[in-house]
Order: sequence, then structure tokens, then C-alpha cells
Amino acid sequence: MIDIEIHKTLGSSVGSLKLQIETSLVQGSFTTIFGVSGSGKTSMLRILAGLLALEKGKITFNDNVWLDTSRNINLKPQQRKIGFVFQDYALFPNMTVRENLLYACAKNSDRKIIDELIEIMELRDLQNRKSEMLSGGQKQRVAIARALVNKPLLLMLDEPLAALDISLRRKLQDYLLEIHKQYKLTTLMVSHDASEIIKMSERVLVLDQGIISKDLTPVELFSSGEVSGKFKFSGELIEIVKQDFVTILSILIGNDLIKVVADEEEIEGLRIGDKVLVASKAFNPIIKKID
Amino acid sequence: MNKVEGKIKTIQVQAKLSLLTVEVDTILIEVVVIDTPETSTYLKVGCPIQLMFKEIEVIIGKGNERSNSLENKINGTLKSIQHGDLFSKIIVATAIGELTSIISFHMAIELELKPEDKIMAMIKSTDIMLSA
Repeated sequence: MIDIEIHKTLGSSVGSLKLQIETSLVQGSFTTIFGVSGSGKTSMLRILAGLLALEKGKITFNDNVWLDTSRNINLKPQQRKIGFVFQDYALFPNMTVRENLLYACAKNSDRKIIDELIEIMELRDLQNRKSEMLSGGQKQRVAIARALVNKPLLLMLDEPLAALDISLRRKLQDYLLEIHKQYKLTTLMVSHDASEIIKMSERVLVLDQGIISKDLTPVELFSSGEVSGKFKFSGELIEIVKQDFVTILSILIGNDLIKVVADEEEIEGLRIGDKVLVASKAFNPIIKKID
Repeated sequence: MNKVEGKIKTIQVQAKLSLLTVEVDTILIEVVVIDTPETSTYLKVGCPIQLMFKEIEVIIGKGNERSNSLENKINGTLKSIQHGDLFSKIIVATAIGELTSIISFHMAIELELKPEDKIMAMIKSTDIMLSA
């Protein structure tokens, strides 16, 4: 569990903003911070990373105190076990992929993880290439791998994929989910992209003028208003089969595969792997006792 | 999915169920939901609401036959019809806007449906979903 208490006054071009955040992140969870520009999202990440000082606050990761202003404790960024990925990749252009990863690796640490990350992020064929020779998507894969070389507990992603096109973004989302699971990371991401947020995260904190105004699930945030249907589930779209004027969607809800008939307009923009809300009135289902 | 906007005109509550009438233009649509004003804040007289029902739930009748139990009967004119192998897709122009219905192909043939036909579009009150 990461417990966060932040009080900080931020100066900006349009006046000052009081950042007042109190929340907890469950270990292993994937949370998105959502909000308009200037609501304090990036500042929150920078404070967690130890890159921005604050007036009053406390940050603990399980029993480790990273920051406690009342006791004058303030660990340096490198002591906090965090990984950070930004929108710009900030790689050393004249170093190779492998050199970039080695450079980021703390002294005396186990270098085996570099080979492991090169495998997971599919960088094997690129590892001896200078990073200036890579495409945007390849550079971001290296930047993600670099953020993980020191086995962080908390991974922070500040709009990491915003500069990439949609197909590349989907692919990198899969890489991020893979490493999130594999390394049992607690991940905090800033994003504005609804499909990305629904696909990646289980919780959204909406930041509004420096405070958390909503704490909810992605489906709750992006469902168009309240739907009265009493059968409401979120699941993953597995298959789309078109037939006449209707389409049969197979959706995995928990361990159960269900099929739903949808019309052309409903499936617009839907793709396999998307998370979807399934809602129905409660008048049709039948109930049978299972022996 | 068919979506029409209306305003709640009346609410009749019975235990956990509510029977609403929703005014869409001048037409009243009846909806039954497993919700009450206590469980859903948007169940208020005068509250704007969206009604949603799937194409497959819109029943098509020819002429002006009203002797059946379907609560919502809306007169209209058949605007277009497309045939597939199993289904036919029908668009009906009504006072509450265009409604789309998907019925079986053989029934479309049996009823000899064609553009300009006078049509009754019918929806059960328990098939309509609400969105605030």
C-alpha cells in the first residue's frame, strides 16, 4: 500500500494552485490520473518521485517512509524505488539501446534484468543500435525498459504514449500491461485517452484544481450517464462476427464467455481486446438452480 | 440501438418497480424499470431522459391494428427496407423520430412490407432502458 498525503502550493501563469491530495494506492494496482491541463497531475507524480519539494506531506510505501515533513524525512529520488516514463524519451542519442539500459542500472545491482527486459520489450534485434537511429515507438520501448532496470516498486507514466499513433499506442499498451503484471508493479499513469484508460487501469482519480474530485472505475467515468439496466457487467471483447444486419459479439466476463447481439452503430470503433460495458434490462433472464 | 429523448411525465411506484410515462414530443411512452425515485436520482417528474431500445425489440404491425398487449404503439410510415438472408432492416418515420426495426426476412415478405406503407411500431414497456 502506498499512502499519499500532499499539500503544496503551485505557482502558475494563471495564479496559484493548491495541491491537496490524500489517497492510497493498493500494491499491484493500475491507477490513472485524469484531469484537464493545470490540474496538478504532473506535479503529483513529480512529488511522489521526489523531484519537487513540498510544504507539508507524508508518503509511505508499506513501512518505508519516503517523505514525512513533520519528521524531516525526504528520501532522494534514487532511494525511492520508482520508475518514471515521460512523453519524451530522454535517451542518450549516441549510446546504444543496451548502453542506455546499463547506464541507468544502479551500481552493484543484478544486470540479468537487462536481458530480461530486452526480451520482454522485444529489443533484442535493436540492442546494439544507437538510440538516435530508432523510431518513436522503439525509443519509447527502450524508455519503458530503462524505467524498470532498477526494479521499481512504483512505476509512473506521464502521458507516455501520447506522441505515438494509434496502432503503435495499442501495441505499447500491451507491453506496459505485460510488465505491470510480470513485475507486480504499482502503476500510476497520467492519460487523457478513454480507450487507453479503460484498457489499462482499474481505477481513475479525477484531479480538479489540485484535489481529487472523483475516485471511480474507468467504466463508471466513461459510461454515458447512468444506465438503468440491472444487468451490468464489464468484460473484454473476444470476437466480432457480422451477420446480416446484426453482429454477434463474444465477450469474456470473468471466466464466462457470453454472446451479445449488437447492431451496426453499437459496434462502431469497437476492436477485439477492448473493455466494454454490457447492460440489459432484468426482465428477460431466466433462473435455474444449479445442482 | 434506437435512442429518443423525452421528459418524465408521471411515475407510479410499486415496491421496487416504477411505471413511468415519458413524453416524447406529443407521444407518451410507457416504461417499467426496477428502480424507484429513492434508488435513482433521475427518476423525477420533469427530468429529461433518454430512452434506449434495440432494433430487434421493435415489433412491426401493418395498418392500425391495436388489439394486442404491447404498451407502446407508434404510428408511422415505412421509409426504407433492406433484406438480408435471415433478417430485414426497416426504418419507420414516426412522430418521435425515425425508428429502426430488425425483423425476420420471411415475415417481411409475408407482410409484403414496402416503402410508404402505414406501419405501427410497437415496443414493450419492459424492453426500454433509460439513460440520464
